[in-house]
Amino acid sequence: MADKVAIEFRQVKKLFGTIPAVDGVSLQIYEGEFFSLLGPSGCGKTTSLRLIAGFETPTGGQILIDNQPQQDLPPHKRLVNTVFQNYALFPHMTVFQNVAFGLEMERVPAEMKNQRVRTILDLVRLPGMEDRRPRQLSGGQQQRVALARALVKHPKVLLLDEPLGALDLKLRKAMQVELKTLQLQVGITFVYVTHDQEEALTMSDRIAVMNEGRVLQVGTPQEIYENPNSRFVADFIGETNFIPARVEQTDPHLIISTVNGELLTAERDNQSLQQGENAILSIRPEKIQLAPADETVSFEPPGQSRLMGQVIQAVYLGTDTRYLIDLSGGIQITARLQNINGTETRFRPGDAVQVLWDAHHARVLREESGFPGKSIIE
Amino acid sequence: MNDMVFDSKSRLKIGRLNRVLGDPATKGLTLIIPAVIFLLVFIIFPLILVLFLSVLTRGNYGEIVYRLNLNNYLRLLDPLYLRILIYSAWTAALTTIGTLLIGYPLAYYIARAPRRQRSFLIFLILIPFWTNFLIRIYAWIMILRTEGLLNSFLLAVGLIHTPLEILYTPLAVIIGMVYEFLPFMILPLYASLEKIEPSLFEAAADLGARPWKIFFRITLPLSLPGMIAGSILVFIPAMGMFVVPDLMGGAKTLLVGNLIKNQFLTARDWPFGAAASMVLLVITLIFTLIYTRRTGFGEELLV
Repeated sequence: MADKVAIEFRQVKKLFGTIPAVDGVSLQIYEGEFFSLLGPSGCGKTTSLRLIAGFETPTGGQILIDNQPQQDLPPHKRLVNTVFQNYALFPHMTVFQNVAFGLEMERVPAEMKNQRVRTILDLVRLPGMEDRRPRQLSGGQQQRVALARALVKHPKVLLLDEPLGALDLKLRKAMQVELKTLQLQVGITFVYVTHDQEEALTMSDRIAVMNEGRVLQVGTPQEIYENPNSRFVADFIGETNFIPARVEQTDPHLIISTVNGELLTAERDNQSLQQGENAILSIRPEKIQLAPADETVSFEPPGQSRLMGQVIQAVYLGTDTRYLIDLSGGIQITARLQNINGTETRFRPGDAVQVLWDAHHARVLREESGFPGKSIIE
Repeated sequence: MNDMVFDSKSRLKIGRLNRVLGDPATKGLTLIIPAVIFLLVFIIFPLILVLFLSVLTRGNYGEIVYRLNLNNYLRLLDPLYLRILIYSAWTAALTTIGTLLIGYPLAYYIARAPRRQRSFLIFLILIPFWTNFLIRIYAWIMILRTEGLLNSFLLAVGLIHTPLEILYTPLAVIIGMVYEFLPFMILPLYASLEKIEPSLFEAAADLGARPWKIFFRITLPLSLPGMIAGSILVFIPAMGMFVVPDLMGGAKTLLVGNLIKNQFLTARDWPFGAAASMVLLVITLIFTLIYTRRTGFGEELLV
């Protein structure tokens, strides 16, 4: 991927009244990248997008598009185009007129305009719909018109504000694949706003996880999932177990004790955890192995971790079986064991089990204020 | 259990109703009976009465003579009356344009105001109309007359040296009528402007449209239904208006409304007044039809 920066945020701040919607965000989005802004509603992702488009002006900091500061540029002078959440198609215009609108504003000659509109309508697979009005189209078709209308302008960057939010699940899945294919085809940088972590993981080259106006972590889907840098990110992306812990030793290994006093080693993360500090251990359900309590297993600390527990619930899910396990400290965790042979339902509620995992799969994260110290299932 | 009993009971009731009403067509007809009765009593019957009256004759003492003829309509072909009709249409058209020119910016401003302020601003538009119609007209007379507020002000400021003669001119009639009908233009305009999704303006700006382009390509076409509705609501009553020309136009301005009023009240020629009313009705209908056809009454209103 080219390392040329398409969009840069430098300490961008946006206040609504006294409430910060975007609170000191610095970001670099590269050319040709599918970049997602992911976070819960109200985290500032849409505001960030609107700042790029020029619908909002930053209270502080700078936004650069193609290395040009955008401070006072109105939306119609920016090299970006937006696909709106509710599509915002012009109801009094046909599909053709909607798509041609942007070119007419640029005074593109009629012949070229017609050709470009037809090419783009073919690209989004909407031929033969030129004379329809938006309200005569299905949600998916309206979505395509909105895409075509923005893409026909050959923007430097395409901004998408939860464009699949209004579609039903099946169509959304299909459109995810289609959007990604389209992005590779046109080679334009996409900045994609979503609150759906699965959507972000499916499509993005890189993701910025946002919360309360701040960017918590930027990385590839894999980095964000495997190596979350905070409790919020670990919790928001995918499913995880949190086990309260205390840092006992930081050198040479990170050794923590969980509430029931058991000592575990964990890989050092790049967090400057101090000895004696309260922390949480995050372990994904699919990284956990289970063994009967009385079975001798090859268990070698510090590379492996083990806790004892009791199965509360076993749910067969087809591809895997989900176990709810009570650890002796009153903490419940979830483990997902794949059903590879189809005969693996070995544990029943009440069974005592060894809960095992590789230390490098667990993350020790700083306990953040404002979160309850409970394990979060699903 | 109780629910089920209730359910089967009500189903029985509906079943009986269906049997009484018979097939769906009969049911449909039954359901429109109230509307039909209303229309018959308040519109169709009075209209037939006026139509019947218009083909009768005035007696020597202003009484109605039951002699059927079309003389009343032939009399209206007199250039004198034709001029009144044309002049009335012209005045109504100017009134409509006036309300549109003043009402559009106002409606636009209100529709773009913060949501909480909007109903208050609409309220302000409507407040003057809580007072009596005649009082408002007299207020305008006070403002416009030779020694009125406007002239005193302009003289005092030194902008003019002789008072402007506005009252008792056609201009005064237009001013009075525009004022009188302004809310009828503002309210439908506001309704259609307020309905436009703000994201459409953003989308247009995003696609490269400057503010005035956004106005002409997005705002104006999408507010067309409001403009049409407002124009109809102003034009139709303006065609038949007689109080404003009477009080503000002096004896100089005679509109078809005044003509009709005079026939019924002063000249006591009811048949001729009825004929003029019928002609006014038909002309208004024709104007409205042409207008709505040309601007596409049907589809755009649904946007």
